[in-house]
Amino acid sequence: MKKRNNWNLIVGYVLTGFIILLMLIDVFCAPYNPDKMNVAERFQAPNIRHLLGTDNFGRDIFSRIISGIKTTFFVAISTVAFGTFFGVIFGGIAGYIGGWIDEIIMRVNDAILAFPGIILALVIVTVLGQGKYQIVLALGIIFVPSFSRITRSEFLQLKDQEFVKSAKVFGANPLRIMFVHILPNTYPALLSAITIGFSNAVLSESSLSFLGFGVKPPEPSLGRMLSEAQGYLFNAPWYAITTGIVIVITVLGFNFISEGIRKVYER
Amino acid sequence: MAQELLSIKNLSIGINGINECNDVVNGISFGIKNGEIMGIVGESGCGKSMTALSIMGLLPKNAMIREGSILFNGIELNGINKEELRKIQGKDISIVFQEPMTSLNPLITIGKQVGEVLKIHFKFTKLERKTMVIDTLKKVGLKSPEELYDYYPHQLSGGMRQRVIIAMAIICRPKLIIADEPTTALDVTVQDKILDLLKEINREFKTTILFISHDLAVINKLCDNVVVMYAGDIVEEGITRNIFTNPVHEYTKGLIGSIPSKEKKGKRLVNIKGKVPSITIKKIGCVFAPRCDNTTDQCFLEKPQIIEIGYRHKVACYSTKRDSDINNVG
Amino acid sequence: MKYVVRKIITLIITLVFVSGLTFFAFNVVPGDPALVMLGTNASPQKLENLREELGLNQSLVKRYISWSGNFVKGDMGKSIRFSQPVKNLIVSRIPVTFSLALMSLLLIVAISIPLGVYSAKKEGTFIDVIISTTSQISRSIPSFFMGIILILIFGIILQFFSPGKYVDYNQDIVEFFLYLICPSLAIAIPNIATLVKFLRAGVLSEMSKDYVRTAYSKGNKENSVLYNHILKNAIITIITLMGMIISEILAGSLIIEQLFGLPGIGSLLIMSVSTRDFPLIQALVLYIAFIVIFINFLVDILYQIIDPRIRVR
Repeated sequence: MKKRNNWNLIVGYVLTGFIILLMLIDVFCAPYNPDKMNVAERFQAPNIRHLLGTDNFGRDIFSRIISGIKTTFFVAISTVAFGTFFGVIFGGIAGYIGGWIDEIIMRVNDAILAFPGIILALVIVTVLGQGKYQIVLALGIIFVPSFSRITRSEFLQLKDQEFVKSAKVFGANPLRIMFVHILPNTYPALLSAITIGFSNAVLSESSLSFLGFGVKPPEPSLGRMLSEAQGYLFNAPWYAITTGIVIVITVLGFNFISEGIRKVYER
Repeated sequence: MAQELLSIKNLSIGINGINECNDVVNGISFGIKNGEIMGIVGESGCGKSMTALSIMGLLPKNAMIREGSILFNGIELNGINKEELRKIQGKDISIVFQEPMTSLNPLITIGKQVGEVLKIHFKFTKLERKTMVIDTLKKVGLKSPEELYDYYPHQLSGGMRQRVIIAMAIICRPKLIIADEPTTALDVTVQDKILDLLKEINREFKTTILFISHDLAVINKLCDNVVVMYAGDIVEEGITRNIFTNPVHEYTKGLIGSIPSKEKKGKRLVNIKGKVPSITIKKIGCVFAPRCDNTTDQCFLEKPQIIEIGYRHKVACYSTKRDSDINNVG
Repeated sequence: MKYVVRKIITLIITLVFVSGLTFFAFNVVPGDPALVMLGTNASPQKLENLREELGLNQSLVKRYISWSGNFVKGDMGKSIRFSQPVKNLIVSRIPVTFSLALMSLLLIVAISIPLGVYSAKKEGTFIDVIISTTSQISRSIPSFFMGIILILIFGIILQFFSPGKYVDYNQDIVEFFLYLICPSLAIAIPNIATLVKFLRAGVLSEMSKDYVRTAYSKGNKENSVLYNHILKNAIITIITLMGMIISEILAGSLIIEQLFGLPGIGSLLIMSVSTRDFPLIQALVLYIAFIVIFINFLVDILYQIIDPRIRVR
């Protein structure tokens, strides 16, 4: 059988790699300080000195974007980590033990999922205030149900299989069975969910920041930059366009990777 | 002299694999006369279903007619354009499939589904259609057809659903009905009733029926003539009674021998050794030779031609020549 | 029956959970809620009055019960910032959000069904790849960026409309709806992409089923099989997704109303969060929860109508 290239994965890696490259540029050799204002140079269109032009304060847009990517990645990774961690725990317990614990966990899950996530996030942010960690908590809580549901259905399928029965016979306690034996077998499904989770997290964080409830200034955020850029659409459309495109590429990259992973495990 | 309604000549059907195209049907020829019930019998994979589907123009995407002619009522069906084919499908030729449980659309009432055939081919009013549908449902033996008209498939049993499908198949009074293992998925008691229904349809409407099955006993009950297929070839054909009393091909003998009956009580059932060859293996000589007990070298070198050895009795086997040679000696 | 009971329980839990979360969260905020709302410069008398008004001196659970009880009776509390009953605020803004949501929904359904079916029909062809890639990209565009792009193209470059110049429905209803076209598109496009993907997969999986073969054997044309037979079955997939789509539309309206300057429920919520107008936020959250439940309920009824197999006879 001929080996066919997994285009989704390839494109996904390229796009994500590009974004990571940008992030590394920021860490090691950013051309300008993202906060450095230079009123004399405001609203410049992309040119040689300022790759993507300057904004209303004369700040270099390119530098601002690449420093914003840091925040985006941080929030995305933390959110997904939070969601996966608790999601796996709750979903695993629900799937493995079943009974009324399962019912309760699933009802609460469905209740959270039924509601538009961003509204819940807003409520949590109102209570906890703004900031990097608060956002992670708010978004993380909203992400838990999806991971929990996936884990639960995987556990339901796997718990009746032979290898689980033999582990029981060997005297393994339930905790060990759940996390040492069953969990590794759920990796394919989880991996797919995690990559989609990344792209959703990036979208959610930028949406929250756009509305003004994301990370606090001076922490850079692509979403907040876009909301500023919106005001200058007439004079400096490149500000909004480039910032937005970077967000799109990040999300696209993760989406392609998750499609690629799905195709790998499709059989 | 009854005319030939369906005439198949040299039909070869191929399936596109990953790298190559393999034939599931290797240049077969046979004909069905008007008003006959003809059976095609053979094991799974012998190409009988593919033959049926090719007549209807319903071959799956990866299969195609490589060569040959399918002459139906004077019209060549191989290569016919889609519009013309659609006019024939459902109206002049209809088909009854094996799986009654999944062959009906679960979301549409059976009345509408049966009526759909009329809607496609004729210009009747809604009321006229409904009347005809109820009438046909009654004809296929369904009780209280007026009520059943508004039922959904999941409310009916397997046998009832199959009757509905037969109703769909006869409502336009087609010239030919192809029945592809219609009773295989049903209980034995229901099986008999469906066979009786088909016989009745053939008797009353003079509909020609092409009946496909792997079950010789069923073929024996229903069919006037039978064609025996093995691995894409026709090995024997003739009047059912003759084939049963006087099978010539070793494969046919094996098939008949393996039917349990009270005469064979206490004796071992005949078992044909070996198994059906894969379609990817290139075949030289007679396809059945590797499993046959009665071979000579010639059988492995060249494929035997089909020859007539009796009244409408044809066989593709060198043993007939040998037998006639033996009989002619002296 | 069991299905219905389970659904109802879930929905009630959603209501209680969401409203409870909001209510308790606000009242667990460190410090005095009255202080937080009025600011540190408020006089002690004002603070005490507010506390009385809000019933802050009663127990938490009692307050929740009386608040939700009032809510159901129609008294949704009073907004601090606007100094108006919440009810009035909601009533004046509902038509905007409702129109926006309805237009988005119509766009989504009207475009994704033909597109999804078409791309399934043309599976594997170049045009299918184009549609799939375009929808993949559309799903990766955050709704606010989509809105900005639309403003850029239609508002600034093509000058079809003036961004920000919202026209009230009381003044000119035609202009009102025209102005809503772009915002609806901004919400609709990412959702169309999702729906097309699922619809395409749904149609493709139906295509290989037996009843489709039967339909062809009757002499049906390809389009007739697609629309009369396959689509009905694929629609069931869509209806399952409807709940999620409506949720997305509501979430999207939050952002889009802000972007286009529409005075709807979404922008009201955002305003209330930025001003920490707790009574308003609580009321809005519960109100939205009711809407979500109602929509889910409608979706379930739709399900029963379309699929005779799960109808309760």
